[in-house]
Amino acid sequence: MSFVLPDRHRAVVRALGEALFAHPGGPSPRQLDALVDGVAAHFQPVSRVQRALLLLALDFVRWLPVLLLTSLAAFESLSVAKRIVLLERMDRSHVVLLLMPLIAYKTLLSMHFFEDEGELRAMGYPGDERKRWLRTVS
Amino acid sequence: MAANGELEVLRGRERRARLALSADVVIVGSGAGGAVVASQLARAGLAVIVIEEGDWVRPAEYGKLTPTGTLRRAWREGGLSAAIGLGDTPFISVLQGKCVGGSSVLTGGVCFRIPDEVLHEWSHDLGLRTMTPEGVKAHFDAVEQVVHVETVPDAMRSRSTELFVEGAARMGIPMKSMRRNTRGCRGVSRCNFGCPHGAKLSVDVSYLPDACAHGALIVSDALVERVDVTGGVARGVRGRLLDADGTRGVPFEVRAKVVVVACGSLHTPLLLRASGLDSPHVGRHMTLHPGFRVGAIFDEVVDGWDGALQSVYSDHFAADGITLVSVYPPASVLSAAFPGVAAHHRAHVHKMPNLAVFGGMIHDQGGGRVHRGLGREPFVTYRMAAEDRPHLWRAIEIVARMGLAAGAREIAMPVFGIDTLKSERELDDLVAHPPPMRRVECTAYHPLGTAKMSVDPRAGVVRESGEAWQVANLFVADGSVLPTSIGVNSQLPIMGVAHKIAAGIADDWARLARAAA
Repeated sequence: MSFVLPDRHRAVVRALGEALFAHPGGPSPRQLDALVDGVAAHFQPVSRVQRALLLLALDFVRWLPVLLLTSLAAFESLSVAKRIVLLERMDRSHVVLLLMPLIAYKTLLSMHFFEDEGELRAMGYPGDERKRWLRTVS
Repeated sequence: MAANGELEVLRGRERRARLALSADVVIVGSGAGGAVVASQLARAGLAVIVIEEGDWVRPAEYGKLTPTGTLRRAWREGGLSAAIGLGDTPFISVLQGKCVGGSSVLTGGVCFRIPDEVLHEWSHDLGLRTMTPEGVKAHFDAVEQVVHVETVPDAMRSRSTELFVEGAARMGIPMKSMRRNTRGCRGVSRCNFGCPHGAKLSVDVSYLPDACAHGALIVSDALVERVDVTGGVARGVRGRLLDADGTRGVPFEVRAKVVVVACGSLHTPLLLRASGLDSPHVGRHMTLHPGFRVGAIFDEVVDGWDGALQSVYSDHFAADGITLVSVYPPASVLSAAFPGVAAHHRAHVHKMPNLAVFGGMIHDQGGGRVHRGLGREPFVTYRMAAEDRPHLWRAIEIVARMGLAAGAREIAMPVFGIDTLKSERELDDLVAHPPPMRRVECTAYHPLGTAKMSVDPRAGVVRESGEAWQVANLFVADGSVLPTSIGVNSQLPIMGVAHKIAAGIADDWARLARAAA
């Protein structure tokens, strides 16, 4: 049976993406929709144990503001600026429990987000055409 | 050898009725080990069936899939498997294929033979008499011909690699051209996600088509749950066909005179345990070759994606257990490794055209263990040996200094939570006060040794022939039989050893058939 990512977890993924990739003018709602769909699809092929761990990590992020006594609101209810502060704290943390959920989701979300053709162009990726191999032909 | 031929695959996901088959040999796993054995034994005239847990991704699909799409279709656990670090050990991503062709579909194509000094240790110290350079040469010769191992031309080096080679030269570190199993590589740097041009001769386009051409049958989406053993002799395998979403469907069984287990170092021990093998060595002694990447940002435009994903290496520090290797994964994958979040992270990502990447790995002492997990996947732990930690740090430091020597203005270290380094002095400070190992970003592609070969049943799981000490007619032919870490990429070593094991099975068939009767 296909796994459907629950709405509360989709909301956390979206909030994570909105903060991780925040920049003036973005990310757009279309990009965030695609990001959430992409990450949700990634839950499909993994084992039940791995899926449970990934969901647990999302729940952990969701209630991190409360656990760290920074707010009584869930992660997705915080402003983007406050979410970024929280993520930066996780990024610098020496506590594995704080670091690992960020690493896991930053990796997964980045791979999905930067596959977007617009993002690839924006970072200067020219597409799949290559020139060096022609030197071996000539 | 019929390379690049079409495969004929019976897809378990498309079958709703029970499946009962019989063959001379059933092989569990279609990767570098299983495919080589399948081809060899099918050519010897034996009826061969290959069982693969993963999906069949047709080579024509590789170029159409995004990297994340490939992760979902062809990588185990969607690319999210890991070894949990015990003590001061990194959390290590352990990447493995789960598709027809196994991890060979997802390698960088790098081909090394087992180094002579490693073979010397195996033959002299461990008593494995035939594991000598002379004893394995013919097998490597044969394998290299089939998968077309060639030296990467200098012209295929990306600018990313050229810069690090320049830095290495300034430090007096020699670099050598790699050899890879390619033909007509166009240097799109996405070998780890299936070659979009069919230039990498992974086993799904080399050995498996040849096996099929000689009568072998491949069954995909089929999970082997145990090897049937009666009277101390393997009689076949049984398990469940898997639906498209991986759930267990109808049962299947294959009766066979010989069973070859080649599911890789993480899953072979689980299957052996589930089949009653209780050797204390099953699942232990796992080595990983923990690897890392260092990024270097230059003023010049590098466009590191234009060129072979991997093209040079250095064994200059082999005495310290260090191998340096060039690498350049797809841009979307690299983006995840940049430090910071939000605008800070984005600013780094937008330096991608100026980014060069180089990596390394260590010839580790072991310390890994595969435990039975709660579900189908194992629980893997790894305790890095005390002597390996300074080697890993030294390797990271060397590569970072290579980047600076080449003129990089920033170095992105494989350490979570630290910003890029801007000078030798900042690197000196980091080296003088290294963060804990658990903050180091590590990846492993070469788990080995979890069913190691030995000359004594008290010291390992299989004989030198690959046959299990505890069960007759049960062979293991994948990376799990390698008794130590090898310090180089494991694809070709697995193929070479599997070729040797297959030759032994063919030569010994009369005895094996009698035992099965």
